Amino acid sequence: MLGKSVKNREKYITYALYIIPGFVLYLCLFVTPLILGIYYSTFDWNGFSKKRDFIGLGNYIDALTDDRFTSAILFNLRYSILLIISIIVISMVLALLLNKDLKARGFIRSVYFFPAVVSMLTASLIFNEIYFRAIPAVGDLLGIAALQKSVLSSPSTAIYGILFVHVWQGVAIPTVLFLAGLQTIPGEILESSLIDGASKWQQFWKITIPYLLPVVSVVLVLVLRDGLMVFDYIVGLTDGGPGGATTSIVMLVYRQGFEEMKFSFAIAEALMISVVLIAVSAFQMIVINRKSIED
Amino acid sequence: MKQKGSYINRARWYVYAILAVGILIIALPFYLTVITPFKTSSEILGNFFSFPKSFYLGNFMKVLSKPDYYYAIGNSIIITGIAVAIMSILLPMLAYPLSRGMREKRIFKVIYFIIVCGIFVPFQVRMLPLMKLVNALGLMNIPGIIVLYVATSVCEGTYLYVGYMASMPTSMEEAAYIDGASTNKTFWMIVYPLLRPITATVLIKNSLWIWNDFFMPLLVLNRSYKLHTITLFQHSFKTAYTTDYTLAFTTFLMSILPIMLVYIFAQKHIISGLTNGAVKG
Repeated sequence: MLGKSVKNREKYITYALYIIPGFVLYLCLFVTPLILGIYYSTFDWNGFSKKRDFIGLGNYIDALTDDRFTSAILFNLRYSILLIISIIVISMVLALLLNKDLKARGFIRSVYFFPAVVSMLTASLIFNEIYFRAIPAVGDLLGIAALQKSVLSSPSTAIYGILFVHVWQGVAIPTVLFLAGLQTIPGEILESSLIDGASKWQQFWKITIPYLLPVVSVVLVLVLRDGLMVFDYIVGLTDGGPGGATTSIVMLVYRQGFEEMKFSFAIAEALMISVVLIAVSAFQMIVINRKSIED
Repeated sequence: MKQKGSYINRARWYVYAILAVGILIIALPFYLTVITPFKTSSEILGNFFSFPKSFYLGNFMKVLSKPDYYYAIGNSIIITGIAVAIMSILLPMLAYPLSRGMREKRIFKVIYFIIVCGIFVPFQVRMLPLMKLVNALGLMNIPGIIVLYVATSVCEGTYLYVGYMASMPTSMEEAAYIDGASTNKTFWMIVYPLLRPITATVLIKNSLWIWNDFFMPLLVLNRSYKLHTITLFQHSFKTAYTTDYTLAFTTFLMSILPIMLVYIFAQKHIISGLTNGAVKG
């Protein structure tokens, strides 16, 4: 008995020593800034001056009526919706194609995945050059007026230029996730549905889609997060322009917080957008958990 | 025509056609990235897409004659290497007592919950107060960014490790324990080697993230080119030489090259590393 309690003590001391470094690091550099942020957001403060006035929810109210913030929100909403639809549709189609009995399947898969390992900044800088120089050169050569001007130079089309690069990189991981989802469909179900006379279309909607739904919900949250937090692509492609048309929320927070000295105001903006994200993620977790309990 | 087991279709010609178009869209930017650095600026004006005629090396000389690139590549290697090395020790150490202690004491469950909640909080929310804190702590340097990366990896890393440990049988640990091995020894001799697959996943994920990250270096290391990482190098190069097309592509190629080589040799591991765990999260 004595031996056991000594051993237990030894065990819990080791446990504590194992936990402390990582957990303390997490508390200091993850939890503390979050709590400080909530606290700072209640002041009218530029981040460094001695004087700061408590204004409660003032920053939040000001932000919601601020033109730049609301137009950034609208940009991100539009961007995220387009991004989610494009990525889910394209990666699902790609997964269905790649799931077939292909020759050179390994090669094709590795080519399709490669964009995912390149940094977002490099990809957007490459496309920046393509948009501004290579495509207009083709336009000049073929005499097509639509190609002679860069998509990024007009406020109404710049969003599509950014979207294309994001989709170009962003379909890789969802495609692999969908492929894994397709592999969970038991072959017998598909076979017996064919024997029962189901068409390819019916098979897709009645069998494939229900099996892929959990993957869809995971991809949805991942892509929504990327869409609402988009920053690197915008720095590399438009820097928020032309005329502020592609200024995303994170870009605005970065500018206001670090360059325009609206420190507390920018924190309030960031906190509001993250509440949306956290709510969506939590909702998805709950739905998935309930589903797996029902099954 | 119908074959046995035809529920998986033989790919028809149009499947190959669609995939070929996709490959073209993916490959064209890389093709330009590879050929353009070998051209002179005047050759570019003739044709963007043609193969280089003379294999001009002046662009590479120009980039390599300045110290910026060496600093960038060196810093990226140091930051990525040290950060993931620390993670590969710190994260399993943190996860192990949480995983095993959860059944015995509530406190471990509470700590696990506090850590996993962090997965939902995007970096951008913490960034402004964090930079203030980091500045006050004197961490606006390379050791500082390493610490920040390790701290940021705790949430997802703990989640992945605890998930993996839950599926591991505990009989070997118990046997070692009864034989009188200390908890510390049991962990390093028995548990740690069994964690290899999940350690690989965590390391690949985090290496690619840190290597390709732009935001954190922009905030922490943007004071001097001596602190620049590979992404900051490209960013500052672009701002300095906006008009030099061939030179810009030279920096792109030189930045992609390391990752391209790693991808060629380790693509299987990279693909599974980047997609593992995403399904559960």
